[in-house]
Amino acid sequence: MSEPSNLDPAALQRLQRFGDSAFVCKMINLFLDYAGQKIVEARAAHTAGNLAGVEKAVHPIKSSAGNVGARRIQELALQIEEHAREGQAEAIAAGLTELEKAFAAAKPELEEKRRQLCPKQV
Amino acid sequence: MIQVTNRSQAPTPKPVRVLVAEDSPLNQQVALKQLEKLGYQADGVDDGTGVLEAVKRTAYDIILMDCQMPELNGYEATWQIREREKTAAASEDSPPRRIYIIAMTANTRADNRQKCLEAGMDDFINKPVELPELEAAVHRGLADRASQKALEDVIDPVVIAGLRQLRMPGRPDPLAELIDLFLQEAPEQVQLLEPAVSQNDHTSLARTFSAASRLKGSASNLGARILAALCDEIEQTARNWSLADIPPLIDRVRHELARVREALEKIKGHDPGT
Repeated sequence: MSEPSNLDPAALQRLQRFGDSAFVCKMINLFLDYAGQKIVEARAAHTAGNLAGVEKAVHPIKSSAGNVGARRIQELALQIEEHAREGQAEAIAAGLTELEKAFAAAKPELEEKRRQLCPKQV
Repeated sequence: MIQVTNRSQAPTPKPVRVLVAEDSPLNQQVALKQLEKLGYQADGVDDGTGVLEAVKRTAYDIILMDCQMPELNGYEATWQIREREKTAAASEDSPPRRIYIIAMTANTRADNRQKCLEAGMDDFINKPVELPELEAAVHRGLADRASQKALEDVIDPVVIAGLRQLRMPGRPDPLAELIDLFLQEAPEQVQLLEPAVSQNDHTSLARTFSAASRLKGSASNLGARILAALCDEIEQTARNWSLADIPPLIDRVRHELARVREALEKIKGHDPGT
């Protein structure tokens, strides 16, 4: 686990400018649920050969990831969205694998942040 | 004395209602939180269909609109709102309302913004939305609402809505024609008032009376209520032979006519039906 941090600290700092810690934790939880679900949807759409479905699923991941500073996820979602628009199914497959990895890497970091900010939450 | 300029007892402004239309739940939550921080009441919906339902239920002042929503996107939702506003302006007695729509764009390319303008949006902010940028945009929206309100003080919107109803497809717009005619004739009638007063005799009194009366009529036809009330006051004053009291009233007529001109030009320029 010596990889560089996946998280841009400026994003959570931005959230703290208008929300309290409970709000930031709420956003982290929302991101983990929502992005996790959309990645599953994107994978399913790709398996079904539905490129428009892939585009639709990854599009909202971009901005959601931006809100919690998950830069790698944001970049990958953007790339996959472009591949889907251009109909490059193979590039999408590779991108989705990367996206799943990036999500798996960002998750413990975000959970750690949440523990720091909201120690009472499980 | 008719109280035509006393507007000091303005009612307290209504709370500002904001609608956030955003499909990404994080963006929506963030925008709602930012608005709460700025002290505004806000609701969230996650697509264009939700927007159209929400504006039916609640009189929103401002919509923060994401452009890329699923099902019905922000451009289409805006276009439909503008269509409804046109229909409402032409068919109802209530003052026409225009919701201030602020696009939230992740992509700042000019074509995107052009598309927003073409759909009928008023303003833009970049994503991710930052508090100062959001605050500035909301303030621009409120300034727009205030100038609409000021315009309604000068020109009765119900009268304008009534004139819009007279429109017939393929025929010249009666509202635009009436505005043009008024803007051409009203200054001439004000010109007539002045010499009529300076020659203090019976004939000039009659001329004052008739010029004021005509101006009152044409001002009323366009809903220029303050101007019409001032002309009425000149008529009453002339009827009482108090010619010395008339020049200050003429000054007020001039001043009000300038406001009426500005308001009518705005109505003509912004008219959704033209």
